[in-house]
Amino acid sequence: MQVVWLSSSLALRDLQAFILHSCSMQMDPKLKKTKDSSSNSANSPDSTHSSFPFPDEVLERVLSLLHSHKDRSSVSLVCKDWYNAERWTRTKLFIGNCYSVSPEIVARRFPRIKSVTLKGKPRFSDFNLVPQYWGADVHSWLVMFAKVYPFLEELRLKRMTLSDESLKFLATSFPGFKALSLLSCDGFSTDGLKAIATHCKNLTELDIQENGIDDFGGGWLSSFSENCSSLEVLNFASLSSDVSFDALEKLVRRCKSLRILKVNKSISLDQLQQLLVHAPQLIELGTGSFQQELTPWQYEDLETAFSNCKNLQALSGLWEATSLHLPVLYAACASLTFLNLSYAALQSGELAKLVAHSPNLRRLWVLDTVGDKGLEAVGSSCPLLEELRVFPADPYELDLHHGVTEAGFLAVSHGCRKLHYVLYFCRQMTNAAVATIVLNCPDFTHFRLCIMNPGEPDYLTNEPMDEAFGAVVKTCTNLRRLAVSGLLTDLTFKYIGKYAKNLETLSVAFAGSSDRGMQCVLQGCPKLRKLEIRDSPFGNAALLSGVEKYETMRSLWMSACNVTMSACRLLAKDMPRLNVEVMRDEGSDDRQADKVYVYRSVAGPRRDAPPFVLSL
Amino acid sequence: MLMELELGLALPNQTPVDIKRHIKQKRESAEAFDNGEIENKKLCLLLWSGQPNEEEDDRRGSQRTDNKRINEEENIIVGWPPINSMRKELLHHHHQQYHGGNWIARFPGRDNNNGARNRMSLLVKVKMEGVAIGRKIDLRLFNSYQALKHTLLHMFSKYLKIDRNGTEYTVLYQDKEGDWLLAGDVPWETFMESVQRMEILRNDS
Repeated sequence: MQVVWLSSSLALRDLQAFILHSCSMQMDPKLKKTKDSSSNSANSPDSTHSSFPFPDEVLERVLSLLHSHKDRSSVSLVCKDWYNAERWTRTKLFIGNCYSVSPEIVARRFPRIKSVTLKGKPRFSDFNLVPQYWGADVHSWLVMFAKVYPFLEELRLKRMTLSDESLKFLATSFPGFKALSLLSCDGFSTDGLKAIATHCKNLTELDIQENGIDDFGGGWLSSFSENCSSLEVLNFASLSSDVSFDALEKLVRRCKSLRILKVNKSISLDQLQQLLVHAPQLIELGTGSFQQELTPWQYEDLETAFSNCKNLQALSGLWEATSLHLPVLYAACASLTFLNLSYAALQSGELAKLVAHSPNLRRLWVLDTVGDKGLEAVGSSCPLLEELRVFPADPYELDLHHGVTEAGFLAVSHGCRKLHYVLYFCRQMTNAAVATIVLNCPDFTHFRLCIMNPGEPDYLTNEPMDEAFGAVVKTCTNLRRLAVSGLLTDLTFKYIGKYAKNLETLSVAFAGSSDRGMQCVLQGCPKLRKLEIRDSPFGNAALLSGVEKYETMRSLWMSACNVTMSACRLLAKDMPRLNVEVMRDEGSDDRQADKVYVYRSVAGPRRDAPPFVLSL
Repeated sequence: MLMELELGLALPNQTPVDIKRHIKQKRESAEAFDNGEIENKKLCLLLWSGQPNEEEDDRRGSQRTDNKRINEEENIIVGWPPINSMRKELLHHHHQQYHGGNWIARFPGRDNNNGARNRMSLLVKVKMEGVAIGRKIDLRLFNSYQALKHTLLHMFSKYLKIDRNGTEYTVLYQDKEGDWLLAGDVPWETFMESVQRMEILRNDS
């Protein structure tokens, strides 16, 4: 038996290379079938395989250093021993689609999970395209977790439904529970939060973002016990009702490890100042309302409080912020890497002054009230900028004088050559501008352009925007996520299929001319995982051309396209490991499949589908 | 001078047929369009459906051509632009405070859907005293009485000279039990659950 000492400082990449090179590996062809029957060997990890130089203990020790979900998946496929070693050492579970697997299957495979991330509804549910009561209820998962993972510490949910009862169950079933993060979830109320605050004595994280929540008042915050001093993350920015400032202040005071605090609008400026005095160690701050009549002393105190926050990297909130109070931030701006102004309708001058003080910005979110001029200022002041998101303040107003244009985007691309993530809502764009933008910034990994009028052409040439997205995919070889808009023909999709070899997520709306478009994408993008399409002329031929492809993807969404029930049934019949679900719109033809959701699953068809979801 | 309330975007000349067809499918009266019109007409992102239908007693055939332009009815394009409900709701409150509540949004999230939860739209007929043709609007576009009243008066101002302050008008609605009530007395959510139709009366009549 060989004894190998491994330094814990060994870089992960080196570690992987070491493991992979020093063993003679065989891909076990029987492995995939043993996945479900792994319970047979659950209690006895195999003793040393003759071709392995390492005993299991070493293998497990090494594998426990692996954290990346993708790496772990690769490791588990090497051979049966590695599969077992990996399952025993995995502590973090990531499930990108809660219906792709069942709680039972998960429980059988992984005995030692401490942290779970679960995602539920398709992304278009954010835009009201998925009816209420669609599903993705977390409760059955919680019941299983309580049985098999009583030592669960972290739960992160995205687009899941959970009730107050589920939250109460969660709060009382896991004595060591530490971190709860809810993003875009629905079905619960502040009563559920109360249960968490009351029962989770070791809570380090409570992060509530953008949920469809019934707000019955801020009393939940007062339910934190006076002994609770372990909070590191507290984010209740998206809740609307008042909390007891007294309770909040006391909480902040005793939680010395608090590093992320995001309060809601009910917290005023002078209250904020009092909080900051107790928590100068904050790394991320979300302010409350940023508008209040302040005396000169209060103003000065606030300024001082901000300048004492030497570790501040991220700033958000800033509701109703105006030029009157923004200067209190200037001292803190020097260290900022993330500035989220997407709820503050700033004008160009106000933004210009802010970013002038923030040379270290990596990420910036703004409303389009800042205009092209504001974005010019960003281009000159923030050379390190990597991510820009510009949201529309008036999404339904089609007056062209509102918001930002191609000029703003161009200005940023000239000054911020490291830009790799953009989300840009605008009303006009040109092919030429986009071509220049990607020439300036060829490293885009995420390019999400939303020209808000469906089917809008290049406003100068009146041509489709095909060449714009063609330029994007040709130039940005690292592109992983793309959202297209404007007037687009099949040519856009031919370009995507031909050039976007690293593309993982594609969002399409009101685009394309024929089935050929979608076919090009399905045939050409080897790494495609998520494809979501709405209101585009892709039909059965397009849907069925991806028959082989969908099992390699997480999911496909098609709504208001030209797909019929018969094609969906055919797909379902041919591919038993795919779940094909259809939802029909009120009053539509029986043959039309208005909303189609296709995803791979080892758990079979959903057992909890509501009547309006047809599982084929 | 009629104010163009409808938000328009002009279709390009070379619109692929399929885009037109897809946006067409969203409309209730596709017959209102023929190819010649589409080039010049504004495709409305946000409109109320005001097409008189068979049930209307006062429908007049001759009005049809006149109303074709006014009555281009598209349903609002659901979920477009792609902004999540939370952000929309927060922007809406901002607008209510600073811009007089003129902002109209697709209804966000569950808080506002109590009565209308399972309905894709909440179309009610609205009649204005003195105006022959009633209109239909989708109440799910609104979040408050103020926005609703303002919009209604604006809508009808095409037909009658209307005092924009709206102080001379009373908005009534008929509830599920058939009673006519004053709009504004009950919480918005309750109103949404029970409203069947509406009527606007002049205070001096």
